[in-house]
Amino acid sequence: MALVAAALLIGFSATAQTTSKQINQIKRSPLYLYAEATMESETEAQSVAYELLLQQVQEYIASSKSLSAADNVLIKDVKTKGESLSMMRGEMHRVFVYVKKYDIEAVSNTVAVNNNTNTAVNLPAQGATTTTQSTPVPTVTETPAPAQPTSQPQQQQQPAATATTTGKVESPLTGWQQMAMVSLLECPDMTSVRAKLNRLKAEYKIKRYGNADNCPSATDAYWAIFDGSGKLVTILGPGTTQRIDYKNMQYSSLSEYKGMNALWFNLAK
Amino acid sequence: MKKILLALAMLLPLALHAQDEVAFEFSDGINGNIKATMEQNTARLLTAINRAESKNADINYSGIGIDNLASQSIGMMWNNVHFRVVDDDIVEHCLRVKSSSGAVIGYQVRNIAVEMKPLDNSYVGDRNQEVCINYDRNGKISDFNITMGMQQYLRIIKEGEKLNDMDRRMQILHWVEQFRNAYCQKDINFMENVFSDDALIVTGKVVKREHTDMKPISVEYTTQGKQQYLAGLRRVFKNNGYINVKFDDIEIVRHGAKPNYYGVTLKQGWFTKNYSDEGIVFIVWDFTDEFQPKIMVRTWQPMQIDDSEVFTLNNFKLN
Repeated sequence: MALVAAALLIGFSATAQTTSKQINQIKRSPLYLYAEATMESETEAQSVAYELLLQQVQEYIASSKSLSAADNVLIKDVKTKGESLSMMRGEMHRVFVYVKKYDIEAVSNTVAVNNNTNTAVNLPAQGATTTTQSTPVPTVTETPAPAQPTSQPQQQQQPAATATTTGKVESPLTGWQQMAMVSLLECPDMTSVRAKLNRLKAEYKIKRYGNADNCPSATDAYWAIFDGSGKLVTILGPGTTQRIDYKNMQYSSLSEYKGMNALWFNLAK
Repeated sequence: MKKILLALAMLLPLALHAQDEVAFEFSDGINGNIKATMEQNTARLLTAINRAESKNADINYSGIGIDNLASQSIGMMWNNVHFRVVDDDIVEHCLRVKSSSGAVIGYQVRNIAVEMKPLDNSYVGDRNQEVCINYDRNGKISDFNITMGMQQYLRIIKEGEKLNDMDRRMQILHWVEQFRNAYCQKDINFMENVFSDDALIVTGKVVKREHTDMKPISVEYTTQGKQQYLAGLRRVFKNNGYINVKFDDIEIVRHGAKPNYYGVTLKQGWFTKNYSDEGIVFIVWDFTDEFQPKIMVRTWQPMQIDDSEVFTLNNFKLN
């Protein structure tokens, strides 16, 4: 009987260790934001962990130039994509929640919150109080707001709810490639994109890059698109008519940005 | 089958006596040489704690960048209760501790899970706790405390964000955590330093009345000076084993006219083997010297008291 108990104990301990290892793997990855709470009840721990995660997200937004410049930021699928892991710690419940940095995106003046899956963080005007929408909303809602100038013109015409519930594509990038893409998308303008590309090239993460007029193969290249004032609009993946727009994770094409400034680059493999 | 069970039986001691070695890493919030220094100091300290717990010995601080006050603070706690780090591989955020001017004055890591290993049956309290470690600007360990619950932490950072004085609220949280730990560690020196020489200590006592009036309770207040209060505390420390003090429902209010004064209201639970109580504690902190803030007023009132009678900043005239 004691040996059966021993076997059970070992099995339990192994499961907890596996979860713990998983948690640490995510914590070590620069691709995620995370938070955790250990409390007497799992529900309580989950609720506190999500609140802490939202704090992390807000800090991330504040530190990211492209996101802090946006009117609103949509955190996609916090409750589904932003997964949680839980384990027992003695008699307490440890809940760990995380979200991909890539799933936090800038949207312009319309906020839509898709109840169970998305969380919207409304960025404050300077000096104003930040408010957080963390409680589930039963239906998809729209907050009518006056149109304002924004650095994300391609998203201005599209409500965020549509953007998140239809036509989203999964990024084929993983690991350091995705990190490189995230860091490029954080650059506000052409100067900083050039500097970042230089840096990534020195790290052997970018094979080559250049101006639009000297691209050897437009189809195979990634394209960073800039507006008339040099602000980064988006980055398109390789392809012909169906390129991934990495800003809003929808398909797009180079022809939609005809006449705009651009830099091309090839990611190393 | 017998062989499997035998193998499991042999493995069991290994599973139960987990390794003492603890690996520690910051996931974010700090870079460069100082990161490596802090990680090394933390891993060594946590490992030293586990080793001491395994051997039922004192903690050996050799090779650990830790200042005397921090090691003394851990030592005082160790005299009352031993503990053990739960995880053997820890990855955590590095938090920056800032002055009210926004300058980084140190760093902090929270959420390190420990399991309390009481020395005797005088221990009353949660077996599973979390500790936080503070570092100075050079990465040396400068403090070590058992943290308050996550709810408290969350509430304080949310209010700090709303009221735009997050750094000051984090400082207050840290000092309140130290204050609480000083009771658990029986650290009379900390108490000597933290109470202002002219501090006012007010203690309420429920006066039981029978067949008198409709009022459910009546409270009688006693006022004490710093030395009188500390003399009583010394006696309490001497006469008790482990003292478990819990702070909950913390509220921080800044004084309207004197921005360096903060009123902190909290629910205090006091647990010893032979006595326990719960009450509302109100503390007036003077943060004029933010590196050594002082307690000007400390009051204790019974939980049964009406909300309108709980002390606030308005009840005290501050010079």
